[in-house]
Amino acid sequence: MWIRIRAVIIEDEPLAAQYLAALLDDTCQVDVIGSAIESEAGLRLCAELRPDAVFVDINLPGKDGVSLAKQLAMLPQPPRLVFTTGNANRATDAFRLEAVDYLLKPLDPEQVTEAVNRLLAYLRPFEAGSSPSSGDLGNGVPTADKMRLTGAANELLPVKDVDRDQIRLLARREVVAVLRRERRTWVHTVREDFATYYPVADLLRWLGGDPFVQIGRHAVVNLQAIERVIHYGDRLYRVRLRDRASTEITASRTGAARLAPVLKMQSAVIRASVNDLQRLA
Amino acid sequence: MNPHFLFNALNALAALATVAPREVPRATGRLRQFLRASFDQQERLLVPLEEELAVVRAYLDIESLRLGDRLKVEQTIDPGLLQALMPPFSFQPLVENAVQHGLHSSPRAGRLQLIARPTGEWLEMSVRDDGQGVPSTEIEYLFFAERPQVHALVLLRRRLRGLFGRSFQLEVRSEIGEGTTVTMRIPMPKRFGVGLESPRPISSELRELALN
Repeated sequence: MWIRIRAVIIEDEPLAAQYLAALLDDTCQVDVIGSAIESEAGLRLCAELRPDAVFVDINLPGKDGVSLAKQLAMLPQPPRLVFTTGNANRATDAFRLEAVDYLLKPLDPEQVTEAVNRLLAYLRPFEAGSSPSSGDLGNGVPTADKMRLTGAANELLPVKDVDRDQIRLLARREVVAVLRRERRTWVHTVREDFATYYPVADLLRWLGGDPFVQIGRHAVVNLQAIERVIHYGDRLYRVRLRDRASTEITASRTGAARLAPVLKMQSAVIRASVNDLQRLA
Repeated sequence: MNPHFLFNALNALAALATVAPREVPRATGRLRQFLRASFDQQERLLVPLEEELAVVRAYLDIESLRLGDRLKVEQTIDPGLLQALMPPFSFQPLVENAVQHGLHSSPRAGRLQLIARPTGEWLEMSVRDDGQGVPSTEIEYLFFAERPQVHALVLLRRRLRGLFGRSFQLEVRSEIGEGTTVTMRIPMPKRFGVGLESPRPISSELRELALN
């Protein structure tokens, strides 16, 4: 049966709310069943209407959208969340709250359509063809609390693209490595790297195991993105990545132990050449 | 100019293009007027109050696109002061501060009172909002602390100091639940001694002072 998404908009600016409602209406997939201009009224409305989805402006006056989201999550039938924001800096707050998507203002109709499709994938998994992954968490079974914190529902990781003042949403397969340095957690893709505030452990859970391996306390790499492994002694490995800077990472002893069987299995061990040894010396 | 204002204005125009396309040219015109004045502010040391009020109105028109009916403005302007000279973009930051911080502090806030009146030898301008307010003990820290992203009022205070030395006042009054009032007092034009008809070109020294 064809059922439209029942949505509530919580946005203090009437023009922004009207615009979002118009874009949602254009998708023909959403009924906006109510709207509120501030957190408290929004919470009451959602408790009463039990919508499937709520579009929340992060930057509400008084109590903001992030604290509202925490309360919405405690409702008996918590709605799915989509955040809207005029400020890319706020996106990482939202990620911790299991948002389905983040829309950066000015809202782009295509972005809104995409968010609606993602909502549909959660709300009607069988119709949408592919069910969203429940997070194949290869690194131990998470407790319910951890699931909430890292948002297993998040298929995409929001990171801040400083150069373009945008939020970028990264898919797992785009990630080459996650590295901790200079008090930031850097997410490397083939072409770029993004500084984030996520704990490495949270990203490790989000990445969900194979092909990602933690090779050091501060380093998680994508095995498919390793350009070469330099083996320069007993359980001593350096890994060179296929990113723009050809980043090299030294594996810790535990990391090396994790790396070794995988490499043997994949027949991918490249013995260090004399050149490599000389270069390292 | 606060970049957030410009971002917000562009977001509002983008929304308006769908919701009420016929309003777009007028709104763009208001933004243009505001930007023009902002770019030109260094050309003259002083402008008549009337001109500064036009900038404030353009600013408020743009903000009211976003805020809608919530924004209510009451003005009490002494008509005798319309030609009084003041530094450009000195009243506007008080209004912007009230919108950005005062009105944002509570969903019920939305009323601004703008006052311009003579008090003794001073030209007094003030903006009052009905937001949450802040504890009076924290005013100095919240509004005037030197930090990487300084508050607009710190910048205004520097400019006023450059122009008037110690002969000005910039004061914030606030209490929790009482809203916030920011008041600026500058010398009346005749005391300051700048001819009304001849806005002089700014010498480079003075320009530097004004920018500090």
